[in-house]
Amino acid sequence: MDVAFLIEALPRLLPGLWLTVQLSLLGLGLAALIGLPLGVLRSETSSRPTTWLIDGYVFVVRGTPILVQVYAAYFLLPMIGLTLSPFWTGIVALVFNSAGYQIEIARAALQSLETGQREGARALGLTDDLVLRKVLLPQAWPRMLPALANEASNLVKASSVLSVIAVFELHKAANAVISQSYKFLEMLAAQAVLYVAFVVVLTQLAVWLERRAGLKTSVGLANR
Amino acid sequence: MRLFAFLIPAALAAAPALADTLATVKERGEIIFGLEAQYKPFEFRDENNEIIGYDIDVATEIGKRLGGVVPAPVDTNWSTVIQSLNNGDFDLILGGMTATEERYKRVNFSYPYMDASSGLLVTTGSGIASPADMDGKSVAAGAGTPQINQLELAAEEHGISYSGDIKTYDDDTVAVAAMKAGRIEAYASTLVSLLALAQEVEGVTVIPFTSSKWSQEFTAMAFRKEDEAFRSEINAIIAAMKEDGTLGALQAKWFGQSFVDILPNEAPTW
Amino acid sequence: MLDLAFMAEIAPKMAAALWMTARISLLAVVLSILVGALLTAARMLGGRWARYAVVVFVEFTRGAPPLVHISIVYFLLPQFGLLLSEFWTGVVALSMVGAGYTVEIFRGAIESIPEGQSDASRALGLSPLQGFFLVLLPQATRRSLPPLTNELANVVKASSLLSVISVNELTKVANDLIFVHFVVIEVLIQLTALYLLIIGVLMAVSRWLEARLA
Repeated sequence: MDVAFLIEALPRLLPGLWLTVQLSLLGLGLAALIGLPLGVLRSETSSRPTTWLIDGYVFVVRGTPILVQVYAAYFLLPMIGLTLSPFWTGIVALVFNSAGYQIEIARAALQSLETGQREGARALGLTDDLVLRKVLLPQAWPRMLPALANEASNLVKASSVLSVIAVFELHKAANAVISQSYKFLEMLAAQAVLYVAFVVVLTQLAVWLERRAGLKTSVGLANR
Repeated sequence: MRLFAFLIPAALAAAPALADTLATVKERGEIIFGLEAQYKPFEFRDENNEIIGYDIDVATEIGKRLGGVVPAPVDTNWSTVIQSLNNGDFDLILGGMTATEERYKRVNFSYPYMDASSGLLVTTGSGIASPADMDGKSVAAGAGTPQINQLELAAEEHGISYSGDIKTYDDDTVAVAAMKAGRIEAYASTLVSLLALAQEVEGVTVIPFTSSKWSQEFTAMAFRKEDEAFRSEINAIIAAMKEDGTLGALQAKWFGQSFVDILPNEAPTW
Repeated sequence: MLDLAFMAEIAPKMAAALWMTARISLLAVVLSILVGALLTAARMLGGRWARYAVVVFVEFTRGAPPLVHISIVYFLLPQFGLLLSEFWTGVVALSMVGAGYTVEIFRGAIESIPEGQSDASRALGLSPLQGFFLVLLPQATRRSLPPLTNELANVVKASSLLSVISVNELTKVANDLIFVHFVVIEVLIQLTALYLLIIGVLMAVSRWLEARLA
């Protein structure tokens, strides 16, 4: 392994890494804004059409590969007049994908709370809205953290797929260096290390968040 | 539908007026053109993520000759660029587009402003000196490019067959990596982009890839079918740029030589 | 509105590509089950270093994106003399992706088996190795089936990435059709429907198995 080359090539990977970080965090954040509330809605609503619509969306997201969703965004958005750059097309696809999974995360967390909580709160005369905000959500939120940490690491990996639509994230940056040199081993090793490191950092961040939220840590290395 | 209602005014405001594109461009002071910044040396991004290349320089020159108009490239995905043009997302396509019969069904072309003949990238010393030598070798082309068809025609013409299917890759970097790894022995793409590639990569050679089975190909700009006034104006500018040497100089800058002599002052039609 | 004639015309090609996807995915999961079982045995029966090695393997295979695994098998292995065909490159790459998860699936399954089982097998005079293969493994296998079916669904989704190395699976064939014919919606509808079909069935089977075996 040509370590000298690796060190010399590292600066050429950093812009790609930065783009990967941006894609992952922006994607996760935007998807949370859409997916988590929809998940709460799905859990609490009694409207059949609403549950069908949301379930349908989740089914499509979980039933198709992320690459297909990326191509769909890539081909379809210009057809409805949205000529976005590859970066934003990628964000749309990542958010579409992650929101679908986060709906399930929020829904499952709420469903896992004992029904006693709801009934008790209602018996105390609290309105449904207050029950949700003051009793259910605060308890549900810590339960979402392990799954959200997993989702964050999934997003990091999914961002590499955007290389096929010409987004210059880490994987594509590494490929560019490979094509100009013979250094497959060095660049693949560098990519792998950077991705795994990023994922481990995110996971440890989630562990810290969980501890702060009072949960016994369920997320650890090799235990996702 | 209500979800998208708010997008309609935005789309209308952004869309160049289809009625008189030329007037709109001059009034706006900007010429908006579609491309995909993935195609060295026509258009690509430098270290500062700015789009540079032959097409940007050509657009800049056209803008000057239209009178104080600046270039405004729109980096979009290539497979739907014609769709976007017809939607009104840009004034024209100026993105190293090869004029083909299939595309002519949906757009009109300008006078050619660059050569688009094909080439083959091979490993130096692989023993491939002409298309016929590809017999029994693994070959590849870019996904969705005319070169796939050309490889098929070449096989017919020389009575050869390739090892396995014609492979396709999303971009040149993956294809070169595959060649280095020994997975393919020849990669077909446009001659000039391969020449640019060969300048950065060691151990590869570029050979011309021509055949009686397909005609000379050119790079041209693409316009909406109804934008005839605009197209004539641009054609006049292209002719002038060829005449006074500006186009030749830009070609020498980006491709190493001038191709003006082989570019006819006639828009490709079918 | 929709060009149904065109959709009928491309259906055979898409079906053939779906078959390719199915074959590669199935073989990859079988391979990752084998690797996962071996690593699980190593983890349980080996010493501290074996456990560390397994942890590193799992962290690497699950932390790096599938495209990196595909690149490793496609570009790097030939340098060490292993030039696999596109098909087998796909199988090996996907099994690398899957193996990290099968190890965890088996660990979860084994941990859910009551302690009493291993004690009893030792009491009956079985060596640890025999205990593992004759007692634990069959029970762990039953409990693993639901998550393994789920994993097969994930591998099918990951197989779409093999399009970048020119494997003629579903996504690549669909992409080629879009480029050649300039038709987008009809192809995307078929593409989506076929994936939903195969993955929907797998996920339904997984849930059914869970209900039956849990």
